[in-house]
Amino acid sequence: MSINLPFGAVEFAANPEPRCPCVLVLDTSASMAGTRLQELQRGLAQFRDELVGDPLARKRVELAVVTFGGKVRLAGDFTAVEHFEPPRLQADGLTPMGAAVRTALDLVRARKQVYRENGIAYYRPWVFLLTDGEPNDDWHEACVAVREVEHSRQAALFAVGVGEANFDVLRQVSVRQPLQLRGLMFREMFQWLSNSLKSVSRSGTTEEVPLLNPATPEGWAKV
Amino acid sequence: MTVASVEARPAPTPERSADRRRHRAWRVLIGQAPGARKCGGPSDDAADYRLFRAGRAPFVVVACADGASSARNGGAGARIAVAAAIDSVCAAARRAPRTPPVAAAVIGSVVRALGAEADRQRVPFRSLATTLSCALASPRWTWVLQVGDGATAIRPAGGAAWAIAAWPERGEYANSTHFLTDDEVRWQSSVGPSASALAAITDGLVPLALDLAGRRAFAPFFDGIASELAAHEPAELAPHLALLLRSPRVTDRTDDDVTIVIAVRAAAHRRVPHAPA
Repeated sequence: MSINLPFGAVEFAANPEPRCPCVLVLDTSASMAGTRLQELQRGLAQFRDELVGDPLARKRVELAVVTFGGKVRLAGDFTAVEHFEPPRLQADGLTPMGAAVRTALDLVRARKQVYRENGIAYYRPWVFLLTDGEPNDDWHEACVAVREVEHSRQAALFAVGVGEANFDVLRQVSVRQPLQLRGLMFREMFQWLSNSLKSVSRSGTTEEVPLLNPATPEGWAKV
Repeated sequence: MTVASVEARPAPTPERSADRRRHRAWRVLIGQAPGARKCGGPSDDAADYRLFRAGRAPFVVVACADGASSARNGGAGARIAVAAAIDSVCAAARRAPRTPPVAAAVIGSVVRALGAEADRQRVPFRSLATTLSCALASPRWTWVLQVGDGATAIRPAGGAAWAIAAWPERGEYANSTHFLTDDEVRWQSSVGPSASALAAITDGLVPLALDLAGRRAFAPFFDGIASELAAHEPAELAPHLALLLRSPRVTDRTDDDVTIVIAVRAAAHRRVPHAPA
């Protein structure tokens, strides 16, 4: 628009985009070795590509990765999707899921503090937990922490079980119905997650975000 | 395929209802565009204004509202809230031109109007969920009332700086706010000195019009529009504002409905013809 026309010279404020934080909490215990981990790794790469391909999600979604296999690792702290490099996953050791969930909740809390200090608006953070076994650490504390953040709407946790995952435990950790991955449909699962994050990241203040049901007959999950 | 309609309304007459006491002390311009996420659907925003006299003095009231798109009848709620707020504010000013309206009474009228509409249409009250940003200027003071995440800005008479009279009120998250249909309506209201310009915007324009980290109005935005409105008739400007609001400069930054209603005191305006494009 020419600046000779009315309003051609109107300037706009350059505010930072609102952020949509998501932590992936991934089981990398020894039982994940082999095809499971390979498929998960492929799914992660596709997840990144899908989000980078979306103009708003690219600017708004921030990803962090916590892995738990033997010990809990911060495999990638929060970063904008466009700078996100999927970490190389390696299967090893037992399943300290309780500690991993608590680490994720701490990450979310710290990230929100950074947003607040910088005047950045944000969406409700998501914690996306994926496991194929059962925790070998004290996970009850994590249950209490999850209930607390869910109750006060500080974060939303989604739990997905793969293979022989212990669903009795997952049902206690997650306030929402945990989902069982159909086969090794990691790519479909990440497709759903990226679509959901795209929807959230473009939702306005006056919208509720409807999520697609992943547990349809063709979906990636069973309940 | 439907093409998204863009609307920017000039003042067809100083007041829509025939009112012999109308005046031309203010110029008012409304600009609206539906967000890209509506995929060609209608905007759920509403905006209007009224120029009237109370105790012989010229008043202007402007209002805009953002209907919740998660609520089935949010767009209708927004239109009713704007109309009811303007009626209520106007009636209050005519009853007592020296005193600013009582915010709780205006909220009460608007909520009753929404309730009546819900009954009439036999829809749930909450399906009319909407925000509201409203400002009334008398020659002596400016009064502001807001529910939700729009914003209301005032340029005090004799000053050059725009001030945010009502800041967007949000929940913790970028996609949560308060509505007129909440059980307890959370409103903010204030009275300030007389204004030379005032504007109300819906949340779609908030990231473009406010400096969020600095918590202040982004002056080049409001000044850019107000200076044109001071120099030109609203009818001339309306199509240009419509163009601006649907230009990539706006749509690259937000895919939400955008609405602004802006008024400038016209007492000292000069006619400056536009150079041809």
